[in-house]
Amino acid sequence: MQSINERPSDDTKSKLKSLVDVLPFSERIPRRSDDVAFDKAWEIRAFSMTVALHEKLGFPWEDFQQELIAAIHVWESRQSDLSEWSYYERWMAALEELARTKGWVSTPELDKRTDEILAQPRNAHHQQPLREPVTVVSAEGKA
Amino acid sequence: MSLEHDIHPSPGIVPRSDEEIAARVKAMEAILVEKGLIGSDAIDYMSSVYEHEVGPQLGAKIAARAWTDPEFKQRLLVDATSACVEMGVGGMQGEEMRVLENTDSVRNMVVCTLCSCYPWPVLGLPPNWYKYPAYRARAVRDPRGVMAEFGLHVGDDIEIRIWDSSAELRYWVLPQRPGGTDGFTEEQLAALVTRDSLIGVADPLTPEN
Repeated sequence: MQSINERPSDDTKSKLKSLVDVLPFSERIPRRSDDVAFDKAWEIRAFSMTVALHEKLGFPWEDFQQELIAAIHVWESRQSDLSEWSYYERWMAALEELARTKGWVSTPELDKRTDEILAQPRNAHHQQPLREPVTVVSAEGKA
Repeated sequence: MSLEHDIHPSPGIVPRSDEEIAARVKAMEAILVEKGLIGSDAIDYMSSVYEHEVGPQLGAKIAARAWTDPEFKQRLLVDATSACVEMGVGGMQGEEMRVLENTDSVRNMVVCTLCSCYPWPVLGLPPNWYKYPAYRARAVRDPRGVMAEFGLHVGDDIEIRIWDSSAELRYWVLPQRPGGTDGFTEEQLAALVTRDSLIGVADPLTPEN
């Protein structure tokens, strides 16, 4: 069974920091009190997926670095407003390209699955408000 | 040239809404996991390093205000959605939120038994364990045991209520103000409020720790 309260080891964070430090435009990475910061759940997920893939599959981190440089250049060459880019949006574009060139996930495959996910209503099975507690354990242990 | 382009469409610049890009990230993860290239647990592990970064700062601020301003607390317990708007928390998109008050005789704990419904704008990103089947099932069957696993030992003289968050109605807990905090400012109090205490699986910190 999964342990409910597992915490990452201390060295994981410093390892992640050294990966982030070598990325292009790393001064543009959103930060709070010097630490990498995220505003949306998908940002943290895209970030974690990339570093987990690097760790698990052992591809050189430079490969991702290069894709990210290219993804940012694509933006710069096509957009007139250069200040308007989002770091993690470009991050995801780079990850897609990396996954395509490594043969992990093709673009049509990703498009198709994305459409399927968008077609599902959000929390399809959990829409009703539940206004009473689901469990009450009374005082003195009597349920 | 154009054939090449058709075979490998450039990911270039496709303007996407936040919802679309979130779905894309989810799709990528699902495919990678299905192909056995990576496990969800490895991704969970990496994101748990940063989950506090999207943490419960707003929820902590709101709890601290409720501890220092009895009228605000009343408004919060009666209509949490409006009281949170008062504190600058929006983006609930019509979803209702309710705050459950812990007292000397009642403790509350929040779970989403089906998925991972969570009061996001207030508490940030849910911890990974909130999504685990172990938590979702056991919180309902054996709440005292789950609380104990988090280091929270609740006496038999206290009633425990478990609330099931859904997409339409999301819960969070107003913990009891810790002792030894007389004269604390709202800011000092907010620093004592942890994410786990707002879910109901822990007490807030005390001035000593």
